[in-house]
Amino acid sequence: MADAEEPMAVDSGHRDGGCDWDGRWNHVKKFLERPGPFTHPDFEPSTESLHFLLETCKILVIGAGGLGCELLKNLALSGFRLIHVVDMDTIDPSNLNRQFLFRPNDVGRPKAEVAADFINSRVPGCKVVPHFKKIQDCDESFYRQFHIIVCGLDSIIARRWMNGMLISLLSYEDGVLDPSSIIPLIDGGTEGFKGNARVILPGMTACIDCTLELYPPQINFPMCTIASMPRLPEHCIEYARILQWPKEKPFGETSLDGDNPEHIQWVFDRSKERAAEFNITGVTYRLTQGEPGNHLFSSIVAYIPLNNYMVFNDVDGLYTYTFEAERKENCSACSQVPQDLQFPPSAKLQEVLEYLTENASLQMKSPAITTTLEGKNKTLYLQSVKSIEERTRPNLCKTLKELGLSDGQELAVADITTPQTVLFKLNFTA
Amino acid sequence: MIEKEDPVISEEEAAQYDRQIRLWGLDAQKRLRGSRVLLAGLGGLGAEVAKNLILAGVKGLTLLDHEQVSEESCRAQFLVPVTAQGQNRAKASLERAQNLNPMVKVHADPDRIEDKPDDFFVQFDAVCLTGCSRDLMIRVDQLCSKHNIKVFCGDVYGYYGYMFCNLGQAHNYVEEKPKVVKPSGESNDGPKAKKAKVDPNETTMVKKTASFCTLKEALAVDWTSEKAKAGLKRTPVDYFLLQVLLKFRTDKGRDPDPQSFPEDSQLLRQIRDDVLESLSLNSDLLNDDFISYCFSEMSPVCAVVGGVLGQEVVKALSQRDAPHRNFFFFDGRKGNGVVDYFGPN
Repeated sequence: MADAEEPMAVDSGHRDGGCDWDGRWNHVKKFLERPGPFTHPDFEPSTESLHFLLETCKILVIGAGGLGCELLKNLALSGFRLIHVVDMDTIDPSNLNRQFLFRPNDVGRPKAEVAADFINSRVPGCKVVPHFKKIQDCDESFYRQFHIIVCGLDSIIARRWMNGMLISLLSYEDGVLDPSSIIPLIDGGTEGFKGNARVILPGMTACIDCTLELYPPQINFPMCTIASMPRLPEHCIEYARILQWPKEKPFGETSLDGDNPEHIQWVFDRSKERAAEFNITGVTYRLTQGEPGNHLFSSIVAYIPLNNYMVFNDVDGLYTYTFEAERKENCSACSQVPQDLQFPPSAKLQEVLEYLTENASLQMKSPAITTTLEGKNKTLYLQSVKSIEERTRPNLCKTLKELGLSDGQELAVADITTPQTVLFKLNFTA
Repeated sequence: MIEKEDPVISEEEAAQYDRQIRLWGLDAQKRLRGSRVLLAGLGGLGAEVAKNLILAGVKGLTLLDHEQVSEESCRAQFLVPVTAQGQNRAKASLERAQNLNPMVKVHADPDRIEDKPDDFFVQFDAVCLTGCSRDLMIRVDQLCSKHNIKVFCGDVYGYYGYMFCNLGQAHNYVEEKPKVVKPSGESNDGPKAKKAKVDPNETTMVKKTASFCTLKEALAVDWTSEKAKAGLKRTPVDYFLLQVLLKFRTDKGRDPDPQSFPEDSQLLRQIRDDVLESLSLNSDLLNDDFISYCFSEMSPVCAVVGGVLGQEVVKALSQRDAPHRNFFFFDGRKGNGVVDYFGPN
């Protein structure tokens, strides 16, 4: 279905530049050029705000999916012109029910590129620059150029990574935060009939990790539990997903696609077999599958709230709640305070690993623990590289004392939830 | 009457609607694809509702609007191309609207809704009115109620927006609830076994009915009674704001316009005083703040209200999940949304 593309409107008879017709920005001017009883005390109404918004403000949109499409539409209509969008995905037919910047004949093309094309050819003056890559493939210098970053991501891990990246850009002089190094992060997410949006000023207000406990515990278990000591239905599903799939390759070389019903059915069947072996109940198709996206929700969450966390729940009636999330004093991401690990010397490394993954405030995925012993860097346990995992696995059963660790020892932990390693200080308890 | 469409859903539909079918089920999707909807008013809010209903996959959507595309139309409305100034707003929105989902029959009608005869409305399963006057909405609501047609009204005024619905005196729907496992009769298991347990992994469909009043009744609540006065503290002020803005629209034939900011502000203040007085209420119930924030349609507010309104239409047509009863108000300055019932008890 061919979409007629209008040329960029160049209005003759107007001032230089030509994209703005008389009164185009009157509505935006109304709230940028006058004070009001509820404006922030530091807000100064001026004609310069509109100018900044139109000419200078560079905004980054992360994700061009359900939320991303709505965000790009709202931003473009509100007058933002310098917009970048990052998305590593290509378009799938199942996206078309809500990601409305895409058409059937766009299937297979990168989301960021199609979204940018769509907006650029329809909103005069708007320049959206696409980046078909992972957020982790962009570096500090890329992120530093933006005045504000808005996220419509589909994973908590990615959010935490982004959060960590912006925190790493903060600069402190004599312990005082330089406000010009702050890049505000506006994060939104939806799942089925629920959604939330929040404003984060890294270094000043609550960051993603400060309120990590608000996220329900993610399915994420130590490998040994999955491999030999399952207790929960989730362990059985992970066994099928992580261990059996790569081994048995049921659909050839294709990787597991969480949205393919045939794949899910296979995982479900294997999970049930495993559960039967260990007398575990509760493995259901729904548990195996997870929750999908809903476009009506995205359009609501794409609206940016003020201060600073808005929850939207339309499951039963309608519930919205706006509150001010507080910073956590010892947040592992933004507090700059080394994290405390309290264990007796007789504790096994396995226990430390479980703490890092299961603790509600940390929720790490597959932490790699290293330390310095006798002046040399030593990897205590690392899961993501098979050969190193096999080599370091015996350490899990050793006590901290046996591993040569002492009271006050610093452990450096790397994980996909953060671009920087997190430092922990080991405090031996009696 | 929602037609029972071809019961077999095509492969293309299954692929495209997969994510929403997982949420509300195949049955609901089938009802949607048999539904015909009328959408009046293609301003910012209308465009959002159009997008949402077309993406959801209704059978047909008629875009009804007699207005011409103005420079204002190109701001909060993304279906109208910038080159379309002077054209009819419904016709100018048609192409992009249709392209959102070729499986939906989208039709543009440039007539004035006031000129439509009664039997025009009868061909639809749901009617959604935006940018309409109070009297017209009341008339259409009354007419549609008689024919069991679901009625929705909504508007956005600057940072504020609302949605109203009348789904009839007996709107039937189903809700998916976790299955309650009845306890076994064994008394020697102790008191714990007697308690009915909820199995979160198994669900069951529960049938329910909700009743709605007319728009006329909803807007004509009597605030002089003792009971009403007592309930005033818990009443969202947005309801009174709506009355003021509807009166402005009736008196001026348009909404507050940034180009006439000083005169319109003055008029809004006056109307606020008049409306509250006529309801025997204190004029400080609704203070002056709202005035400078109710001009124009803010596009993100259209997105929020359009999202809720779209979802309500989907729920009503698919007869699945509890409808909001009977108003939703959104205050974009606070980021607050509230559902409340106004009407005879």
